[in-house]
Amino acid sequence: QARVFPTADDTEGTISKDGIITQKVSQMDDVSLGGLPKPPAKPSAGGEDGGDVDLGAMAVLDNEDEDDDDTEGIVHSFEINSDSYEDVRKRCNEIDYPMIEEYDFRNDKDNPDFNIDLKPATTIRSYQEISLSKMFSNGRARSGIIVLPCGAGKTLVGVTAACTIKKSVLCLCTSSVSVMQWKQQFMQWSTIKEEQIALFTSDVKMRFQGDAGLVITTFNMVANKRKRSHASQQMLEFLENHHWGLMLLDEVHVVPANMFRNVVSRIVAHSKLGLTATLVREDEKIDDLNFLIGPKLYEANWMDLANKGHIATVQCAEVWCDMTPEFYKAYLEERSRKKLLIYVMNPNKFRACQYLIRFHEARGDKTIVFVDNVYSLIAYAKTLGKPYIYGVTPQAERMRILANFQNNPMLRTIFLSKVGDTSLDLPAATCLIQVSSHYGSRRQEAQRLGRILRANRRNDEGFNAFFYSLVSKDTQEMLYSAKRQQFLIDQGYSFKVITHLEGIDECPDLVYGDEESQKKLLHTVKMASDADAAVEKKGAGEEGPGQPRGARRTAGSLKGLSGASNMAYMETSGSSRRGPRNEPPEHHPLFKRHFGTKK
Amino acid sequence: MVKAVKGTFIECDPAAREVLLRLNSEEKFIIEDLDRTHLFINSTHFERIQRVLDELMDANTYKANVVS
Repeated sequence: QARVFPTADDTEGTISKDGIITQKVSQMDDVSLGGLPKPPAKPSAGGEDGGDVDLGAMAVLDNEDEDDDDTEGIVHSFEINSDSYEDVRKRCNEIDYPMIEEYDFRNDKDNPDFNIDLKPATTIRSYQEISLSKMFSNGRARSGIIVLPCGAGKTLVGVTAACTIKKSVLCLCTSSVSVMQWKQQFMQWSTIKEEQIALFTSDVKMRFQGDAGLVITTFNMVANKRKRSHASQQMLEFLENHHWGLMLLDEVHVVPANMFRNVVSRIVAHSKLGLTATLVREDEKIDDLNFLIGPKLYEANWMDLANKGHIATVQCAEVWCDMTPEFYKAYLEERSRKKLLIYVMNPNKFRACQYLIRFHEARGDKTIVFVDNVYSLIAYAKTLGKPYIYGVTPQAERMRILANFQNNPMLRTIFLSKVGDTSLDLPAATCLIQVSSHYGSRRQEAQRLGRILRANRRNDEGFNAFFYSLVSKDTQEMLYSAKRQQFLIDQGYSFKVITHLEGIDECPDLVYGDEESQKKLLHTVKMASDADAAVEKKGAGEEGPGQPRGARRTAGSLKGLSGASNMAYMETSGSSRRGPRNEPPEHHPLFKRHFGTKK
Repeated sequence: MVKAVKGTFIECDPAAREVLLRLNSEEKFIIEDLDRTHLFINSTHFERIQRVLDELMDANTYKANVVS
């Protein structure tokens, strides 16, 4: 086997790879057993490891002697340069020798311990236990990804992993709302004390007391390479210099995006656990997660969990709405992205949506309506008279609307844009209507479904949650809709097709019943600009490091503000961001001495 | 002399009718537009418009990649 040849002379094996490693041999002895192996033949990787070796990753190979009955195997290990970490893993995958990242946290004496435990009252469900056992099977912490449906208790899995490893934890989330949710969950399930938790968002930058603790932050905060505020910069340096025992990545499917990849390589974490419900992306980058974080350790069976009552059973349906002739004509004529606007603002869709909302309100269900496109969102919500939340909605108003939705029996329907896709905890919602969506994104469809999987009433007999997707017939939307459903179909859901809503014709006073109002609607839609047709940019409501927050206030006396108090006028030749100057201006020989010669 | 043109009576849904009306603006084949769901067209173009409609319906249908 290509693996291990315990050489008598330790240093020999490593010289072929990189001369400098030999000095570190003595340090490694007390961590690993046995000698150092001759590195397996990796010509490309060998070349990259030249230069100084930092105490980077340790590659550990388990080897049991061929002839032995020993229960104890011998572990051989060697170090590789931390910069070439990703390349080494890629290369190993290519030569069919995939590496798994494991962290021997029990024997790690270098990093300070973090004593947290699960509260005695906390119980772990069977599938959570199975997923964690896959992670900790060797007595070491394996890095990888655990896939559990929304609402199945991923956060608890993360908390339990942190309590098992008992070293510093860094938790990365998608938004500041989830940061608060994670903090609350950590306090709820584990014995962690509040001063051991540090939050890092654009609003708040804390430190934890003691050597080890928990930091919760967002991907945006650590990924951004632009100029940062001083406090953020300090915090970032702290994050990069600290040795983390565990890095928790919530909604890990966002990590392969170019912006977030470097997070994983810049921050030193001995083990990484990725949590998500949807391990799909529409580009091919999802495979990169294999060597960015690790393999998929466990994926839950949605149907199984639904049967056991951990998540709600959902009836999925696709409602086909005819396009009115005028709208269809306009749809055929449009070339640009306004096509989306036209098939979303289809009057028949309005009617179907209204009918379904009325139907479910009468049943006592709480409904969420998702409309991706902001223009349509506002149009729908205003026409049907319901509150709506989208990126620009201020935090206070969002909390108010959501609290009302949860508790107030008078408010049974709300409209959400993309901001409602992930992480919003709305256990009262039992019905979902999707009016418009982001092209063919399977992940989005599944994440939206997750909003109703946590329904409180899911354990009632015969309870069903409902998921409707409204599609305009004979348009591109049909194509996108079918694509989106693929992920859910793979999980075992089947989409019923409703071509005609029973009772919609008898329903009195639905909007846009007559041709006159439909023509008016078409006219307003045509007036809408192209920008309105764009799908809302994600993160519009979330913080970014250098974004100006509304108005800026400066205090000062009138005298100072008008320049009278020691302010001098100074002209600079442009911002420092501009590259080095071009050649200095040429001066006439007569005046050269006056201006001085410039190099 | 009598000049006779062969005609075809088409019954379709309003959406398809819109498509045909649009095609008509490029190359005239509609003899009479009867109402929201019926048209009377010139038979010689019948094959062509049938193909166009089929292609349109195909474009809007998702074909899943079946893994063998």
